[in-house]
Amino acid sequence: VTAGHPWRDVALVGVHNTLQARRLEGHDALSITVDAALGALADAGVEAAEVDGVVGPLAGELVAALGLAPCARHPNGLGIPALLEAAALVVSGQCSTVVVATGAAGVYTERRATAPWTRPGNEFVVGFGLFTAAEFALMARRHMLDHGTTDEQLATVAATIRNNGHVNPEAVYFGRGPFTAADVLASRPVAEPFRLLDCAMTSEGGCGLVLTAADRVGDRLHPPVWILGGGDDAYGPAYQRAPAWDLRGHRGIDTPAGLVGRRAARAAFRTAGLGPSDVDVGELYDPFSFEIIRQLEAFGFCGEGEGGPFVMEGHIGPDGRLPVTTDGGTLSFSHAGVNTQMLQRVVRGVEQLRGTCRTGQVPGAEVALCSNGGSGALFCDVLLLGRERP
Amino acid sequence: VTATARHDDELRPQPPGIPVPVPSPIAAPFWDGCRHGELRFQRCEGCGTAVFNPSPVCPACRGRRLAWEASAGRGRLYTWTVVWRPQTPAFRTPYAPAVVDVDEGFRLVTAIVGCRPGDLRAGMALAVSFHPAGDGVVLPYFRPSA
Repeated sequence: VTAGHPWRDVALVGVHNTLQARRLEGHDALSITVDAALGALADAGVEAAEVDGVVGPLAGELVAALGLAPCARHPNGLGIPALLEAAALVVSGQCSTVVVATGAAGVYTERRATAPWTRPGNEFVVGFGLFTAAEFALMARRHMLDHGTTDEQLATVAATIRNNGHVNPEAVYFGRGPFTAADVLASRPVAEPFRLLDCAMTSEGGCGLVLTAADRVGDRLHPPVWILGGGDDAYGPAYQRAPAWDLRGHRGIDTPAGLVGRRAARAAFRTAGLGPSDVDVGELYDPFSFEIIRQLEAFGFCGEGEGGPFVMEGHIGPDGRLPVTTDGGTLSFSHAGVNTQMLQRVVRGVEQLRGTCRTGQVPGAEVALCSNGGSGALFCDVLLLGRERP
Repeated sequence: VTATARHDDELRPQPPGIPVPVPSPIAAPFWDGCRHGELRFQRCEGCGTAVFNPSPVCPACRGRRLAWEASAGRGRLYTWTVVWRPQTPAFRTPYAPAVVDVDEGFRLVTAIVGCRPGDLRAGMALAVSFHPAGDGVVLPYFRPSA
């Protein structure tokens, strides 16, 4: 786009998903994170000895386990912001090759309760039995009241994404469909308007990504994928405050919390010199069916209140204008811990641009938009990836 | 979901045994108020903004002087959900987490009691209803009011 593009000197050269499953016997967080890191390095054709930066919740542990010292380690980032942090380590010259790796296993053992990472302990919500599905339901309800969004529109999102997973041999719920909207509507209620099949599964697994300086891209098994733009938005800490659609800050005249991610998307598109119509595939984060309808509006793929009709017109399906969450997402592919499932939208975006998806490949995809988070959690992150160096 | 849970069940306060809030120091006046049947919130002495959750600073003007006041405990239903798959087995279903616009100009997370799930409507008038939750903590639920 311009010589001054902030991310032109860093490339995504390796991605890897470990085995994903409802339960990975014999694994803990470190062992599956090691699988993720080594898998991504192998995919990139990079020797571990070249790594001088690690990003992820167990970054310090990985430095020791893989013998990488001395090495930068950044343990705090989550999802797309962690990926951008890794890219910043490279473009700022602090590192030349960075691994982002994360994984979760052995944490969800009390199956009569919802998964531990979905149960907030904050004093203002804990006594009222809130959990992730309820928080997102409070936002979905408001959209339905304001715009007439329907249960059937939500169910159509869930069926579309679950069917992407149904045909994907790497998905935890491979072969569990196909689903119609009627199947979703017939599933048992969880937190109205969400039924069981509107909600993410829980699972275990890991994923990893490798970034290198552009002058190290060289000849590899796969062509590099480039960061065209990115951004992140928050309206507060997740699961501590009332998740209200019209919550605003000082700069939110046209962006209430219900449209969280809009500012981030605008920033990403501006950096990229692109707009929503340039996006070939949307690897949108799908904790609940409604969140896709909301993100379509927030990111500008359609107008406010038009997300439901956009879905019903078939635009997010495999043959649509904007195929969405093509591996099955958290509804069907995997939903491990808090970090893996977010970075997996980026992994899939890279696979789409390489053209290597075994199922759901969007022919000739040049630009992918990946997202994380959502309205119920009061944050939303956006990453634009491309096949051409910016 | 219990075998007997149905849509015409009345929404009720949770029985003892649910996870209860651990009050933070800044919110202690709020939880003390609940024990005394009073819904308390902060008001900025600089710009008059009603502030909730309790905060060390006004988000509207960044003023640092906030004074506790008692609400009349009346408000309107902004949004809600009806939960059938509880967070933990300690919660009895159905229950209805909600966001309420309180008349004094603040908003809080609560749960609605005293009606059936099918009776819930956006904008319906509500009044605070305090119920003990165990460990000396009292929770501010809301119920329909005239």
